[in-house]
Amino acid sequence: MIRRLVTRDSVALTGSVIGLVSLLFGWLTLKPNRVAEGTSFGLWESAGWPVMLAMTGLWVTCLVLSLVAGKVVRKVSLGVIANLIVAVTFITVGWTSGRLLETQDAIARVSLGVGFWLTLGGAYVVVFSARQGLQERRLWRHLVSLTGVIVFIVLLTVGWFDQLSVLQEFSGRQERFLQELQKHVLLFGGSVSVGTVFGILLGIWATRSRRAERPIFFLANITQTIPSLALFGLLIAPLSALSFAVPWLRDIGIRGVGVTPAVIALVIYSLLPIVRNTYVGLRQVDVAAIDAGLGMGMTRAQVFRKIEVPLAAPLVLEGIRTASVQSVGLTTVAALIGAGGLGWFIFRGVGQQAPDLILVGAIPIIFLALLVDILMRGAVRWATPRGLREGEG
Amino acid sequence: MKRLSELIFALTMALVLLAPGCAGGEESAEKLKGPITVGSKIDTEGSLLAQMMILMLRDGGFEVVDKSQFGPTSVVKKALETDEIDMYPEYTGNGAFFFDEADSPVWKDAARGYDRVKELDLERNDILWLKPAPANNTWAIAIRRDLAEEHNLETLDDLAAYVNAGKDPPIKLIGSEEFVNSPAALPAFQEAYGFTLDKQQLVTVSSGDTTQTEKAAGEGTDQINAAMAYGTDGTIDAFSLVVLGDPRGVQPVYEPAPRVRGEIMEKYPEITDILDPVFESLTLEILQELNGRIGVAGENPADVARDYLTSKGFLK
Amino acid sequence: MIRLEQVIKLYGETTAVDGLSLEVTRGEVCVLIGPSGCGKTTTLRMVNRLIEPTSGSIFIDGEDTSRIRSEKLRQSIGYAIQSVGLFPHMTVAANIAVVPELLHWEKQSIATRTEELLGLVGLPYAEYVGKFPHQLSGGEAQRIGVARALAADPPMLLMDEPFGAVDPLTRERLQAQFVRIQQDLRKTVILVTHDLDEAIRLADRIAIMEAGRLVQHDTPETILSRPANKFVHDFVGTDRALKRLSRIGITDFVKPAVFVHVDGSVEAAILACSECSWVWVVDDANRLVGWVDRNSLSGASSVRDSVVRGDTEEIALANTATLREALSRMLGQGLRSIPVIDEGWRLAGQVELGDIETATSEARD
Repeated sequence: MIRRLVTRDSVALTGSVIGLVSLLFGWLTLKPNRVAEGTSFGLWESAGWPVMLAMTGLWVTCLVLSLVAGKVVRKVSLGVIANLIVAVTFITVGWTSGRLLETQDAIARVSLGVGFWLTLGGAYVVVFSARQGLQERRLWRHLVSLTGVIVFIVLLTVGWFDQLSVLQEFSGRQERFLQELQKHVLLFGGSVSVGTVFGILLGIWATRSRRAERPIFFLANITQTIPSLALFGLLIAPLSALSFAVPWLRDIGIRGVGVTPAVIALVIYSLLPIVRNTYVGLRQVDVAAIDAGLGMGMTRAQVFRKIEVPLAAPLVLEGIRTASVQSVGLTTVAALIGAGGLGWFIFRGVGQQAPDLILVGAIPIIFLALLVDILMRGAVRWATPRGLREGEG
Repeated sequence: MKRLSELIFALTMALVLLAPGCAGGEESAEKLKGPITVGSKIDTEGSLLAQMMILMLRDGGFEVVDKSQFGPTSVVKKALETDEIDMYPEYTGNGAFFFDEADSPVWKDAARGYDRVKELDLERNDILWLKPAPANNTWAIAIRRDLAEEHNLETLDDLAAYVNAGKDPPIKLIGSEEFVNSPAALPAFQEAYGFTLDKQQLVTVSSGDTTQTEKAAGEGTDQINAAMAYGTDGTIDAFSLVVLGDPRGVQPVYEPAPRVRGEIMEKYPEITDILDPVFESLTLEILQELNGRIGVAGENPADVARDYLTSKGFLK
Repeated sequence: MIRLEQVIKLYGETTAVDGLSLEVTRGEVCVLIGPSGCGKTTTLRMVNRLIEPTSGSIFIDGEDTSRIRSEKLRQSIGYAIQSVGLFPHMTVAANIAVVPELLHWEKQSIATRTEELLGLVGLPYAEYVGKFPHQLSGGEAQRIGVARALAADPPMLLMDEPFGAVDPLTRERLQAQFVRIQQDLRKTVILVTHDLDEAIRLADRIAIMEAGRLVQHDTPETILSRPANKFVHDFVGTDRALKRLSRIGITDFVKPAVFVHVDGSVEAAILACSECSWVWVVDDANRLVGWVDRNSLSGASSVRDSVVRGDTEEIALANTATLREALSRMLGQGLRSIPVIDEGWRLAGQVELGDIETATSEARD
């Protein structure tokens, strides 16, 4: 009977354990100024015993629930409690940061501690597990995934977190942030677009010509292994030389540093996933279907358009998705060669020894990557012809 | 139908992301001169000086593109040479490395160093140097204030004596690769003042940012009690350090000055009148204070720059 | 209607088709058959120019096919292949509609035609029209393939092992269906197969190929009774007589069968058995239950108790079967006569061994 009780929802169990452990770590760090080391404050010190007990209670409930049989009702309650923990976390962190700063100088700073991050992490591990068990109930699934995010956005907008060092780093640089955000989006968006065009063309070429296949894949594979910073740096010298030799290139904005080498490098990196997926996508089209199409009187172009393209499209879009998400991350490094982007905050933060400035760059990059991933998954679903969806009919 | 609406949604999202940038366009009624692109290195002082340049130029009727904190020295240098930016604040002493004249004694003298780099840059690159600030932001060694007070260490001579006497606690210095190895830096100090720090007494890091090194000394990480520093660092005070004096003048002089493309200066010679008085007013102490406000208190460089310029009457 | 004149296809050093001359008349089913690599598929694909001949000409209705634009040519010829090649991302209706749409038919005409075709291949319209290829069984897919080939009502069909990729039972049903459809539509068909039995069953004339050359081009009967050379003789095999039987349906040979009801009296049963050794037993719906003979009836209290119940499927023949099947059952079951049932499993008559012997001897002469 005990065996039956202790079912293996190991994911939720792990999340709960992480959550409980997080209570032992520092919740907030108080620093006399933005570059000094600070003193750590636990949850009980920052928020008092009642909150501490409440959080402990919530985590213990999670732990118990994850040990008992995973029926739908349990999954729902796990999801609800996890989101409750997230909400309490956000509300508490905003309130306690203000509290800690009350007795300090104007230049003192409050940063998020390890305990906060672990709590969030543990809660979302539990959310993930709850989502898995709610495959059929779409409404509950969306509620479980999004409630925490919505609470966060609402609190952010009303300025609940403004006392935190992260937000203070941000508030002084809002205009710059928007500029760099825009640059970041243009950089990865532009380079993925260019990469898509070239990648698809190269992929088609590789499927049509046996001779071209090897060198194309060799190049695509090799370029992927070059460390990003090295590739960015390697492009500076030849591009500068080129822009010296041909002045009108300079006039139209193609120079050795800045956007040009960044875009070129990013395009090169996005090639492999797109080329490979285009190749595989076209190759896996049923040869019999193509033969039948030709035999029925379609032109080569019609076969391509009506048969190969719709059947290969989902895979090609998957390749573009991979390249996009990858690009969001790689664009971070572009800031080092003068191209701007959110990486700029990260490098400033590193140089100034201000970790919260790093967060101002890092967190939006993560969100961007997630957003891009979700949008592209939607695109893949949109492009998958009904006849190919598994599990239908 | 469903596909169409999804497409529209995606496009709207894209527009939302792009809109902020598009909105921030130029909307001045009168015709502006320029545009001039101002860059800087990623460090704090660079951002401060760049903001001062930007504010003054805008006030002088120029359209200015802000590309401050563009990248590390090499990248910014290249940017100027390839017309990606039109000007940025550079240090006179760096002329020794740009033009491969590190051995020349001229760099130890503020005036002669400035004249030399100005001459060479104009001749070889068609780049002009404007008036420098009288603040020597050169390499220095800073030690913990408590250590300095306890053992009465004020200059590098005192330090040499302390090291040679083998006193406790031993000196442990943190510096960048360049600082520790470049013949112009630590080796030059050691030679001039007659002391040596052995391998165990040195901690080397790759980044040349002195905030990191000063923080290490200030917090006593790994028993470090001395740090590579720059003369005008705003964080020295914040980490309870003091800079040791260099009476023998070992280090070259590094005074910040605008480095401008010749073409721009030809077109707009009035730039000299706009920027020179500002740079001439910046002393070591002033720069330390302003840098401190940005680095330690976390103020916006543009705000700090504007504050200073208005308080001195450069801006209305 | 289709005429090949001295068609040659070379692949580098290899000769795939060596001076083939062949004529297929309108409404005729011509089956190309031969060992692997004999060039039959290559020949087929040269007719619709998926492969271009190295030399020689192909005429359709007197027109040289090399003069017509290849897409137009193919749109007027139905094409069905072994692996069917249905477009997986399109519904059955969309698949069938492909050629009509290429020919700019009106939507309504296409819809009507689709309904017609699904009926022709025996698949209910409402159920199948919206299905996707991955939801179809092998046999259903092949039938849709044939329907698709017929969609634009082409006068000609080219088929490359169209029934090859399914199990023998389904293949047999598909072949029967093909024969029926062809009786209705009278298309000109060139069909490639490696299965001699299929060739014999479906062809009006068989063209046997070896190493790129045409060896014999005759009716199945002629090929079976007068093989042109040793190759054909060996190819056809020594069971020619049996093969001939597979072309003859049993309908002409069904005689009325003697039967009793399962609930009838034992005496009536014994009486019926007096003339023949046994009688068939049926239920009230006239469905076959089994058989009784004098031995099983002696000392029996009722017919029902003494019925030798056989597996109806094993014993009985469908009324669409061939003489060859009848013979096979008789030998397998050790019976000299086999009951024949209709679609509702009702007893329709019987076939006797003696009649098969007569039929064989007639064919011999």
